[in-house]
Amino acid sequence: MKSLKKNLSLLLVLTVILTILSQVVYGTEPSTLPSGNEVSQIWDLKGYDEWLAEVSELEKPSEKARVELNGALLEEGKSVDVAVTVAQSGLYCLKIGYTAVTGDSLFSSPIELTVEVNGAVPYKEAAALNLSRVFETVDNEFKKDTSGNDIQPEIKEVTPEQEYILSDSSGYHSGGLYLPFNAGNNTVKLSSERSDIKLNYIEICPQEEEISYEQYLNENGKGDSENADPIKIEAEKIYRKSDCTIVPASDRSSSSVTPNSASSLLLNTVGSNFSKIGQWVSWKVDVKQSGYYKISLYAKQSVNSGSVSSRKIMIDGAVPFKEAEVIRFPFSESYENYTVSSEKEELLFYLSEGEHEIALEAVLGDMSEYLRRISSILSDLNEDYLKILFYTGSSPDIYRNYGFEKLIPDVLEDFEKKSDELEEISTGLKELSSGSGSSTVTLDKLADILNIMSQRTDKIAQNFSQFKETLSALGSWINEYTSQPLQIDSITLIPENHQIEGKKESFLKNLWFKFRIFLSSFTSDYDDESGDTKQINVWIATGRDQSKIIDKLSQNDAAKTGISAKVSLVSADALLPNVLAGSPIDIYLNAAVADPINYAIRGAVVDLTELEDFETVAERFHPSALIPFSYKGAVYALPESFDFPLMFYRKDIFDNLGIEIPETWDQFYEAVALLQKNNLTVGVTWTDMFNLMLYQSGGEYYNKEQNASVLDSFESIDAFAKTLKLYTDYNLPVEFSFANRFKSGDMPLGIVPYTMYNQLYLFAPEIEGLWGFTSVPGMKQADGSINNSVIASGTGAVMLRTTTDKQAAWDFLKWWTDTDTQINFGIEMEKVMGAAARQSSANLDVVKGFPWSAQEFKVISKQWENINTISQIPGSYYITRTLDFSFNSAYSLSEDSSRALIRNVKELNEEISRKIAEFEKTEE
Amino acid sequence: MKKAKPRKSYSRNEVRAGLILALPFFVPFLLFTIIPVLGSVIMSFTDFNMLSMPDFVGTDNYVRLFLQDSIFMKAMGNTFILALVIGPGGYILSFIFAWLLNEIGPKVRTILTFCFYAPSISGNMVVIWQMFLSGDSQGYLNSILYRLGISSTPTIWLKNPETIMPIIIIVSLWSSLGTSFLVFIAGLQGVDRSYYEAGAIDGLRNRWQELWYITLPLMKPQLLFSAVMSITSSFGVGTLITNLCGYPTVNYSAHTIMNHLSDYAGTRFEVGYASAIATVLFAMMILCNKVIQKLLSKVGT
Repeated sequence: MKSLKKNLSLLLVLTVILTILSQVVYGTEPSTLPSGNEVSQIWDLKGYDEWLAEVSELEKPSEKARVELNGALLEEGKSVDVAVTVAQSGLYCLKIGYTAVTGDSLFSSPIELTVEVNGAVPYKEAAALNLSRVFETVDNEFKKDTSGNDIQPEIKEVTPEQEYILSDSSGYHSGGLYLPFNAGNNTVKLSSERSDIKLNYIEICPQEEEISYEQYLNENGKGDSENADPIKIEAEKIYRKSDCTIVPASDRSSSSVTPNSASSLLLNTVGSNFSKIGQWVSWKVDVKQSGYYKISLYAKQSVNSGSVSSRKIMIDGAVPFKEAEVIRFPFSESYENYTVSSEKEELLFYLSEGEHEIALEAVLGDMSEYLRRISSILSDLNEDYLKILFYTGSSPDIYRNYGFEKLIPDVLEDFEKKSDELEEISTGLKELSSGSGSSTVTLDKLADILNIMSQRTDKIAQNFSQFKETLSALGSWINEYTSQPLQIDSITLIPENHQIEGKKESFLKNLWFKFRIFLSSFTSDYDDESGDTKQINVWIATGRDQSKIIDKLSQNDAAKTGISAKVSLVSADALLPNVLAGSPIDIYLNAAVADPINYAIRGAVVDLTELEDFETVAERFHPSALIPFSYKGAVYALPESFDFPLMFYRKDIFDNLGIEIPETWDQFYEAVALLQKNNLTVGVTWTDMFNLMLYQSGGEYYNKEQNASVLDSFESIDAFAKTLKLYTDYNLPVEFSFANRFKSGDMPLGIVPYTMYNQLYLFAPEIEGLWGFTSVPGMKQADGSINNSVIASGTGAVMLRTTTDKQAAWDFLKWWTDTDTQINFGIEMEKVMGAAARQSSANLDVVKGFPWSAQEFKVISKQWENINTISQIPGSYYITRTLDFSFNSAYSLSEDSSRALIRNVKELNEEISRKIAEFEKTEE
Repeated sequence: MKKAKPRKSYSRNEVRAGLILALPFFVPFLLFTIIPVLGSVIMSFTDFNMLSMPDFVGTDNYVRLFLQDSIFMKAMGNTFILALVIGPGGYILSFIFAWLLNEIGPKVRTILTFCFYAPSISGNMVVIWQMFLSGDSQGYLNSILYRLGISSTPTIWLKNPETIMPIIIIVSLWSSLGTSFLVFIAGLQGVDRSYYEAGAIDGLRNRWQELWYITLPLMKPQLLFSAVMSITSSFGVGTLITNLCGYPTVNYSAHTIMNHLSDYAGTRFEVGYASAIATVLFAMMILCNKVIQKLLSKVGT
């Protein structure tokens, strides 16, 4: 006991010293790529604006220097040093010539780089560079499925040489960013966080300005396009794009969209996903007569009311003149004809005879400066919020006089300043969006609250929760207005002096069209006749979106696999009676973890190990993922989802309070105590805690013979007691809403399933960048290593005994659990429901294919090495109540925890033996 | 005035007409009530796991049920407690509220009837209670108690064996103003005013005597009907508990026979045993009904 105390106090002293040191040593350059716990070092970097203000007196020379790299391969996770020599010191822009390297699957992860100059990452934006890939449509003549609907065209990745100018991936800063170089030799270090890439050259140069429109007209002289015909491009015939999630879509909301059909779904627009900054789409056009053309788009921006979407136009890969950098598309509820024009006139583009590529890239345009300022206001206000939170806790006492004037005078000053700034921005925005009110409501409200709180400090406690909510609304606002959605039907190139006749929407035509759609819904056959593909009956109980997506994916691949799935959406309890009745079900997807074994011991599902190349398929998944679906050497399901807990923490709160992120349980308990001293708490569910304690100390749920539970073993009783202590002695909450409390700062540490990440990302946009996740704490083992294994749980896909064609059903399962199909499914789900619908998978390649960032994926793969699962045996369903009863008796009724556990485990073992006897009887 | 003589016999045509008119009710009743009940009784003598053919085992299930199943005894106890409190309790509450509402004018009465009736038909009303009784320290009940200074730690209301039963009783009573309530209101409306006048002339002194000697006897059919409804529904309390407190309740503290039944049928796949439980429940309900009917026949005397 004494040595424990001594060790703990030593640890505390060390922690304090280290914290002080870390404040002093500022801007430490990461020499290796950051691991999960080192992420806070990136967070310590300055923003670009702050850095630029410090180096503003440096020169901006007009020299250029180029280093050829001849296609050197930079692998993921590695870095390369390049020596660059310049005569003058000063600020330069950086250009990287590169060729992308195609990954194994079509969904190659995005290319993320970090750049360092002379050993230091100068600012935050330099640590997160996104370079684009290029995807090309193979054939723009859309194929049709058997109902006459268009099928998505195939795309392939192409690797042309591209040039990247160092810029802000978030789009807040337009144009190139500066880097500092010394006179003479410099070292530029490029590190790849994600994806391999071939480097062709590095060039440092002054910031380039585009030529003005007058200059452009002068350079190209007089055009000769009067006698040419207008050229129309259908936007859904995409030539190339930067993101494979930008796909043509079918829009039947208006009869003016071409091509359109009342009876089948034709792909006629592009752009429902074309909204992120940096994404671009290009089209090929064949110009017969060279000369000047006006560009007119028939498009709809109906998502961001009160705001404009902006695009950059590029002809053959380059922006022709300055005015083409930002083309604005104001809000409109229906399709409109937008002609590319500046404030004064319609813009003419010179196109010579022959083929050209016209591209549109999503940019922030006029909003960029405002968004930048608002996001810095948000981060300052978040800090202020925390300062108040530490004094008052998350529900301040409205009758208490805290004395804020003395405690936090700088915060009050900041409130006043920010209130004025917000009012100024709000006025500016109102002008920009021509008066539409809704876009500035949040800003006005926040300015108001800040004003009240700075004038009347006694009102701070009352307004605290509103303040928090408005901050959150501001975060969502930023997300909303960063997105630049635009749906395009067609692009027309109109020769110089012709009049622009756009498309018109006619109310009557629309009405007639919609009526025809309604009529055809009676005659369309939604059930696909498969022709020569085999039909598999697939049942799922999750949701309509999932069933539609699986159907679509299956149709798209039907020619390749020879199988087409007939997906039926059922309610979960319809399965069993139907199996009993012998309905022709082949596959059931997303069965809960306990179901496959439950059905297996009653002979309702097929043993998959009997089918050919089972072993190859099994290798796709994490080795422990198949355990809950195996019994006595047979495997009854293939894993689909696979979720496990990770530890989430608020970086800002931990930094503010000087607490280290715990890696062992001792550190965890310390963190708990320190947080509680500051009126904060920690969230862990007791089931997760018990699993962690049990498996990290080497315990198990069942014995080796799999015929009894060993939850009454010493390790288990010990783990259970430790778990209980957390709630009785440390007073952690047993029931809590993690997302809410994490967001408000009340619960800055928690161990929750890692898919909570997506919920938090959407739910708490105002704290974006201020939190992270990492592996759970572990137990120190005898040899000094830390065992931090977690328990994963998920759903599985089963093949039922009522299947008529085992081989075909097995082919379907193989296709379904294939990496590409699963990634496709996940991405489709995210398109429909957003990032909150991100799937989890037992196949690490699939997880990699989802849009996790490099940092996030690193954390997940680190924990991936240390995952266990709990097996399922006959009678396993009893476990939930065994543990539930034991815990609640011990917690609420103060029954001795070991007695409660042993008593319930005895009942559990009785039930297990009964079930095993029953199983053996049916086996005969 | 000629008094209608009770008919002693009916002609054959009338009998046939009567049977044909009763068919639309009788056929579904036979198919969906009588036959399944009989089927269940037969299944209670087998061992059936829903996915293979049933296996005849005689009275094994009943022996196990009464002699070996301690959870069943606890469930019986719980069911009786709940039935005794909720059955008569809900019944009397329905009547009292109906009687009180009877005094109010028709428009206000309709609105208030709707307010009282709504909980019993809304399927998800447990969500409100779950929110209110949340075990989170920032849940409604916990934070109210904290602010009033009554308790300083959050209680997990829905998982604490001591608090689960009272909560179930309260929520059940709250939602028990169902069909019986409507029936009572209708019945009270149907009582002829002239009887009260006659009673006043005959010497009734106060409202209580009015109630006992006039209102209740005239409402005997409704009373009987509502009694049957109350008793049957109070024995069948099961889903409410599952929705509110999770499944199964901690230490089986509010585990009723219905819960026990669905446990064996749905979770443990022992449908034969579950049928045995169902048959026992059925027998208990019939017994209770007979007793209630005997009691009610004494009303008004």
